[in-house]
Amino acid sequence: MADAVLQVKSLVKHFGALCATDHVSLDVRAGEIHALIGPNGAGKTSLVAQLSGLLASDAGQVLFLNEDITAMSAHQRVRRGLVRSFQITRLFKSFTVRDNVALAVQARTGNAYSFWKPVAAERALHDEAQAILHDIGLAERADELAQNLSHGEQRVLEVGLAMATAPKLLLLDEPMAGTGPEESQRIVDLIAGLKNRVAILLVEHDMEAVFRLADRISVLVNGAVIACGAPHDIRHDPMVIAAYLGEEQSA
Amino acid sequence: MNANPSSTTFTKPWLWCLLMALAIGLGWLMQSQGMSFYLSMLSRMMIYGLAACSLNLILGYGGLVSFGHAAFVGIGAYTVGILITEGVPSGWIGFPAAMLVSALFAALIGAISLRTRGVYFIMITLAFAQMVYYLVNSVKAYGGDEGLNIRMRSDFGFGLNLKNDLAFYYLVLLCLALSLWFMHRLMHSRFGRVVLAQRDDDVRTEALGFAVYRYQMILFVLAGAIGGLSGALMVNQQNYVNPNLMHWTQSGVLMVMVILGGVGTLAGGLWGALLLLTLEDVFAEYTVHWQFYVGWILLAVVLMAPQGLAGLFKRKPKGVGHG
Repeated sequence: MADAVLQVKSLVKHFGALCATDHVSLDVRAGEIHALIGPNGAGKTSLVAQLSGLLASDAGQVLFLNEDITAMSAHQRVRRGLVRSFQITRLFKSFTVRDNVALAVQARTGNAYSFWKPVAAERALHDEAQAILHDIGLAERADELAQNLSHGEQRVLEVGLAMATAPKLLLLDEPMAGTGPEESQRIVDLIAGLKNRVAILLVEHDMEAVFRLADRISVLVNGAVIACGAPHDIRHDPMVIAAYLGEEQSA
Repeated sequence: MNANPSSTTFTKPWLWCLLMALAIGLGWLMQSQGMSFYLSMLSRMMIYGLAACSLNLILGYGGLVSFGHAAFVGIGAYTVGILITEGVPSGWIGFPAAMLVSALFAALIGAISLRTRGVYFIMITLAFAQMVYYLVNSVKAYGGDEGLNIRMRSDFGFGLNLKNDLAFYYLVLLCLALSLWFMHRLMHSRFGRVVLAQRDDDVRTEALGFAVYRYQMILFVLAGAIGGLSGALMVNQQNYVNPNLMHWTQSGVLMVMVILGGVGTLAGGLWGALLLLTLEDVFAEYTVHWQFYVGWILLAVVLMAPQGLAGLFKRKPKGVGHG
């Protein structure tokens, strides 16, 4: 598995008696979109939190670019290129849209601790932020405060913030959460445009989007991966249908 | 490029220059009219203003409700007091030492407190400040609970005599202006932007690759150092320092000043100090129950100007429909 960007080996997380992550193993290869699906309470959110370093694991190992990052803090992982977005939008609401992105660009450029020079005068930082906004279709909203964006625009910016850190692997935690059909189409296009530029682990409920975007799909049920394979195989896997897809279709 | 709206407190350089010129002129006028009592009162207000502004750095900009800031003010005051007692009156040593010692204590207290959040952070900073308070109370060599009298004021040489009310007033004004300028630059730098970001959402800031804890530590230490500077001025004004300066109620007073003046605005602490101490002095003239009346006014300000005095003069940011 020489081209695996991320390798998760038998990862475990307990909350009391509940096993939220039950010996999960999976990998994400360079340039692929690997989707992670599963019913509510399957442990997707815990797994993303563990992979991003916001939640400590009880056992197991996470390798990123062949480096053991299991014990690393969230910001150290980001520095190495493992970046997440959030299911519940977490923007800097009192910042303008451009300053949101500029902050993400700042995280990976130049002097980390600059105390004196006005950041607003840093042309390169803002030009780069503007270019990214152009990329994600929010260039015209650059001077707006983030809190004044529509929900769909906030979801786009949420993904845009993660992208602006120039990741090697994106963990997208339900990027389409709470969006209408038009907005979710916009985000599907955005993610499709990222393909081959960056590896993606996509956690998503929207099955249509998952089957359109994913190269491979892993199915998480009760904290454990019950299946992993190409979309076509997953769609017809009897165990997956019984545990998850069937439930959706009958609902 | 437009500045960050959350950190823009309607700062116009000419306005600050005008205020500075006014303050310089006012001091000279008061001295020449023999109003040295009021001059010294104004100095006291500005010292408290400086202390409150330094608290505002952590509380307002950092969003970290520290309830033990008076400890750093007191530590600064005691550092200068003890140095003078031990025969080191030089202000060039005393003032930097006060800032350094306060910064060291802030580093110690911050290193532990900043691992907690919310109400735990409030309580743990309060607990540490009370520990310092009781510690100082018990050090009999430097007055213990009776406080420490200093024989002379800090000596800056160049014929500058801090016993002169006007000279002292100008020193306070200089310290205040330099501190405000520093804080202004700080909050508009890359560092400042990360501080504001973690106030909005610390988890998100961490998830963008910033070591949030380290930024909070630096902020906490800087605020402690500036608090120490205000303490160095305070002991010089009163020729005396007493452990009550570090009592938790003093931290509360500083907090009230910040809230009155405007949380997270550059000079909010200064406006709050001016208002609170003026109210105190005015009401204390008429009644021993002045706190009762001041309380009503505080209530009115908080209800009618939730962003404090600074909020009243703040232009609403463009493109905001509400709030």
